[in-house]
Formats: sequence, C-alpha cells, structure tokens
Amino acid sequence: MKKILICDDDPSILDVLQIILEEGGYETERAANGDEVLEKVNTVNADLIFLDIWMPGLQGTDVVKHLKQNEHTKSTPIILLSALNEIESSAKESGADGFVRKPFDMHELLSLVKKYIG
Amino acid sequence: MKILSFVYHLPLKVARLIFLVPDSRHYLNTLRLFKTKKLYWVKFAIACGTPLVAVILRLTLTPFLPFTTTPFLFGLLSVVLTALITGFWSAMITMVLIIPATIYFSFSPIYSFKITTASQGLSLIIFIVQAVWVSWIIEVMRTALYDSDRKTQMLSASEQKLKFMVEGVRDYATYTTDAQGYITSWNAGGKRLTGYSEDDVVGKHFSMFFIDEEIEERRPWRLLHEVGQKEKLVDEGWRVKKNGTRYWAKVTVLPIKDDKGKTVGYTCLTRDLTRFREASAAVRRSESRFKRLFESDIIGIFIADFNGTVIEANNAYLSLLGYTREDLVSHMITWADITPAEYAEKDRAAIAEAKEKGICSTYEKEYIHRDGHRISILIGYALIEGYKDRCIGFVLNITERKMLEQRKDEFISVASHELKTPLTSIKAFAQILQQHMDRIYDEQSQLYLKKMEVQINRLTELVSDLLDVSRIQAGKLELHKEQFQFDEMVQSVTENLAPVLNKHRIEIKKNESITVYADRPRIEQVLINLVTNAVKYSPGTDRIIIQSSKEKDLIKTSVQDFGIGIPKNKQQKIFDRFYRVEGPRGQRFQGLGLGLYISAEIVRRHGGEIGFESEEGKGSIFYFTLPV
Repeated sequence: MKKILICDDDPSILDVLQIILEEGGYETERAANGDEVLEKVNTVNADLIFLDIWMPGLQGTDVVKHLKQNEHTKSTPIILLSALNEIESSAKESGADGFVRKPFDMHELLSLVKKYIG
Repeated sequence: MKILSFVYHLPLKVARLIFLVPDSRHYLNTLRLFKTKKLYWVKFAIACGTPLVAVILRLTLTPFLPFTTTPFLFGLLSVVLTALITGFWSAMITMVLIIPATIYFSFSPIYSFKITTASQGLSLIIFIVQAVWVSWIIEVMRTALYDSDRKTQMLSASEQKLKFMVEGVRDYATYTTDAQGYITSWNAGGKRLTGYSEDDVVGKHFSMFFIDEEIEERRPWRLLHEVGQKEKLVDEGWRVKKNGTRYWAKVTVLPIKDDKGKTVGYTCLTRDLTRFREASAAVRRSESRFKRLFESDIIGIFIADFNGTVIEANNAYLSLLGYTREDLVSHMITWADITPAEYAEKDRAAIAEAKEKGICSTYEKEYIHRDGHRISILIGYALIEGYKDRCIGFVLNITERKMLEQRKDEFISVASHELKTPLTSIKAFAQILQQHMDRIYDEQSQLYLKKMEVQINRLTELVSDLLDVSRIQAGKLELHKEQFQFDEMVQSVTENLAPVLNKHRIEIKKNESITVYADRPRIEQVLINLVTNAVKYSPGTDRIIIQSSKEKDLIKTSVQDFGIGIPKNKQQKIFDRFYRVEGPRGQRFQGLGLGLYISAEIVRRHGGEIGFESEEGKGSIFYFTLPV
C-alpha cells in the first residue's frame, strides 16, 4: 500500500486528509510542522508528501527545498496545500510537483494523488 | 497790412544792400564761418579787395568831395570793414595797402609817392593809430560775440537734449518747480499719470498733487525744506490724480542750482507704485501663507538642489530625520547620506520627471534617520521657478501607516487562512458523508449533503472574494500568466458549472480556438462570475448564451441572459465595490456585490476591457475583451 506523508499545522486538516486518503486506499503518516516532516522522512518511506504552505516555523516552500536536496526524498512527488486564492510565484518556483487549494474537492484531490502514485 | 509792412521794410532792405550792412543773423553766420575755418585766401582777398573798393570810390567821387582835408576817409572805412568781416590781421593788411594808395591818389602832388608837408605826415600817423585801435576793438568785440554765441548754442543743444529726454519719459511724471514750489514745467508722463495737462499745472503750487490731510499738515512744505537740507529726497506716499483717485507714488526730488550753488528750483520725478504695491502686498500675503505652512510643521518641507544638498528645511523635516539646524546650515544633510542605496534609481527617475514636467509624482521611499534606523516616507517635490537645479518638496512620515498596512495584509491573509481551514474540514466531511450515503443508498441524505456542499462553496467564494478585494486595494493582486487555449477554458468552465445550474442551460453559440497568454484561473473566475450573475439575475428563464470570438487583435467573450436587466439609472455603478442590483420589486439578490468589481480588475490588469449592454426587463449581455 502506498504511503502518503501529510503535514499541516492544523490538526483538523490532518484529520480530514487522513480520512479521505485512507478511504482512497492509502496509508498516511502525520506531521504537524516542517521540522517534523524533515525528521520523519529519514525513518518513513513516503511515496507522496502533502505540505501546507503556511506554517509556523519552517514554511512549506522551504521544506520542499530541503526535501529536494535530500537523497531519500529527491524524487518523491510533493503537493503543496494553499489557503490563498492564488498560488504564489514563490510556491511555484519552490520545486513542488503539484498544488491544491483549500478548501479542496475530495474527488479532485484523489485523482491528483492517483496521477502521481497510482 | 501785409503791403504796408512790405513798404515799411523796403528802404531798410535797399539800404542794407547798398551799404553792405548785414543784419545780426547774417553777421553771426559770417563770424562763425571765419572764426572756425581758416580760409586764408578768402581773408586775403577781402583784405585786398576793400582798399581797391576804397580807391575806386575815391576816384569816382573826387570832383564832389574834399579829399584834401580827409584823405583817409575811405581808407579808414575799408579797414573797419575788413576788421568787421575778417578780423584784426586782415585789417592790418588792408591798412598797409591803403597807405601807398592814399599817398598816390590823395597827397599833393597827386600821382606820386611823396610826402611833402608835415600835416600830410601827421594825418598818416593819425590814420595808422586809428586803424590799429579800431581794428583791435572790433576784434575784441568779435571774439566776445563769437564766444557768447557759442555758449548759447551749446546751452541750446543741451536744453534740447534734456527736453527730449524729459518728454520721452512717459512712465515717470517729471516736472520742475521754482524755489517756492510753483510748477514751471510739465512732461507727457505727468499728463499720463495724473490726467493734468500742462496748462492745468504750470504756475500752480506742487502741493496740489497731495491729499488733503497732508496739505493740512503742511507736509509738502516740510518736504521742500528737507530737500534743501539733503540735496536729494525720496518720498513715498499718496498722491491725487485729476479725477480725484488716489495713487501710491514714489517721488524723487532734486534741487536745481545756479552757477553759484544757490537753489533756484526743484525737479521732481514721480512714479506710480500702486500696482507695484498691490503686487508686493499680494506677494507678501502669499509669502506669509507659505511661511505659515512652512513653520506650522504639519508636514516636513525642504528645499534642496539636485546635487543632493538640503539647503533649507522646516523643523518638522529636521526632527523627522533627527538632525539639528546646525547640521542643516553646515550642509551636512545630503540625499546620499539620508537615502538608502536601493532607492537611488527611484530618486533619479523622479528627479528627471521633476526637471521635465516641473513636478514629480509622489513616491514612497525610506530615509535613514541620524540614529541609523529607517523610516518610511512619502515624498514629492517641484522645481522652483527661476532655478534649473532647485526644488521644494514635502516629506510625510508613513512608517506607522506602512506598519498598519502590513498588519492589515497579514491579518487578511491570516483571516483568510483561518476561515478556510474550517471550511476545508466541513466541505471534506460533507463529501465523505456523501460517499457513505451513496454506499448505503441513502439518496435523501445525499441530496441534503449536496445542498450543504453548495452552501459551503458559496461561503468559500465569499471568503475568497474578500481576500481578493483587500489585495486589489493594496495593489497586491498577482497575475500568473500562462498560455492556454481559450475555447478549452470556456468548455471546461461550462462543464463544471453545469451541475450548479438549476433550470438554466448554457448555450455556447460560438467558441473560437485561440491561444491566449493570461492567468487562467483568474480568467475562469471572470467567466464564472459573469455566468453566475446571468443565472442569478434571470430567474424564470432558462437560457444563457456564451460567445467567444476574435475581433482584430482582441478576443471578445460575452455572456447573455434574458432576465431582469439593469435599469438605466443604475448602470453607472455596476462595477462598483459592494454594489448589488435590486430586483424590480426591490428584492435583494445574494452576494456581497464584489464579483464584478474583482472581474473588472482582473480584466483591466490583463489590458482588456469589460462592459455590458442591458435593457430593463429584456436582459443583459456582459462582455470582456483580452489582448491576444
């Protein structure tokens, strides 16, 4: 079963994402902020990573940079979650593979995941 | 009368001719001629000619006159004549020529050059003495006459010049008075200034120009007294014109003195300063108004040159920057010191604009306080008239405002973020529940959940719109352009909207396939907005028509509905923020009134135009264009 690492500072978002993804047939691993993600990737083998852009501490875009440099996660698809109306240029340039706006549509989300990891 | 006068003057003219007696005018001309030009030959000729004439006369008149007793009669006359015409030395030549002639023709025995008697010798000596003496006197008189004439001529010439000058001066009234102040002359400028003509003033006292109060106070006489003491007086005061109006005059009075230095009169030059005074009063007023602004320290004001030195500044400016007045005076404050390097480009552009247009558009930048910390300022300046390199400007400290703006922006982002989080949850759970209901075939619950989802979407839209609006206000709406096929976009939007439409159907009449370079999600937003409005404002109808085609170098998209339309008197405000149209029965429609405001901004930012045609009761066509 494919594993998805989800990261958001708001636990309610993590709850919802977890339910949706598990309904979709994926395993999930939770992280509450950027530092946790960077820690977890060393122990957990994720096939896909969901990252919230706006977080306290390390921003989502910075995390992406780190992940792309990390040997383990260099080729892991990363999807950024954004609460803003427009995906900012900084986010687009960060190197992330996909973007989803909040509030997201469950079906759209799942088809996006399918696109990357099947 | 004329005939009588002629007859009267005739004998005189004849006598003049016969006796060669010139009148004074002719004589003066002759005198001037022989005194100024040497003409030796002419003089010699005359000197020789006159004895000749004398001899001829003597010979012709011999039978009639007793030349024995007065042998030198004609001789003396000819010497006198020569002296009168040509002067002393010529007269001497004549005398010398006369002597042998007389001896020859008048001394007996005649026709010989012998002096035989003692009385002959005596008369000769007497003749010589007389001739010399008379010639000398005549010469003295001639010289005196000539000198006097020359002086008169010179005086006349300078008088002419002066008169010319005085007459020529029209801006100044110039007049002269005698020592008591009675007017002796007047010029054209005087008439122009006061309205008085020469006849009106000559002979009258100059106090007539003063105002009654001053005449009562005896001021004009005091002024006269002052000039006598000072040699020149400049006075400013009210004067009166012929028609009674007062004017503010500047008067210069100079005494006219004779050879001995005694004052014989005064010259007065008067200038009308009324306009000047008004103008300078106006200048003083505006200067004091400016001074008030400058000193009130409401805003920082400075004067600087384009090299960067601050030349002058008010206290507000100085305290803004933390400098003292001493620093300013010692030219310590330069733009290079107080402006951070990253604004150099902005400054250069603004200076160029100021030099070209006279003013620069206000812009924001930062100053470096003397302490080293930065302050945000709004600055603007204008070229000072008369200088190429100097400007006057204002500086407003907007640090607080900027901080407030930043906080506001942060707040909007945070609020938006915060609001969307629960919305995300709710929507997701609504969708999850829908799936569950689907599995257990609970269609009714599914329906309810679907309706919930619709409302959640609506709420999401409202939150998004609020966020957009505040970003537009802050000028922070970012566009991320990409290339896409327009018809594809239209198609996809239509498909996505289909489930939301209740009774309406979207008809795509025309959809040209054109590649555009634009922010796709935003353009979709615009189209969705127009369609949603169309649906909203046409309850009871079922058709929405979308058309999209190329027009020259634009792509024009229109959305048509057959609903309530927009009444003419409300059409102006359609694109205003928060504006919502009321229905014909005063019904309010949903929404915050932000949709069109945001759509208009998006379209305009792309360089396109947005507009509509609408008729109340018939429907509306909203369209927008995008450059291709």
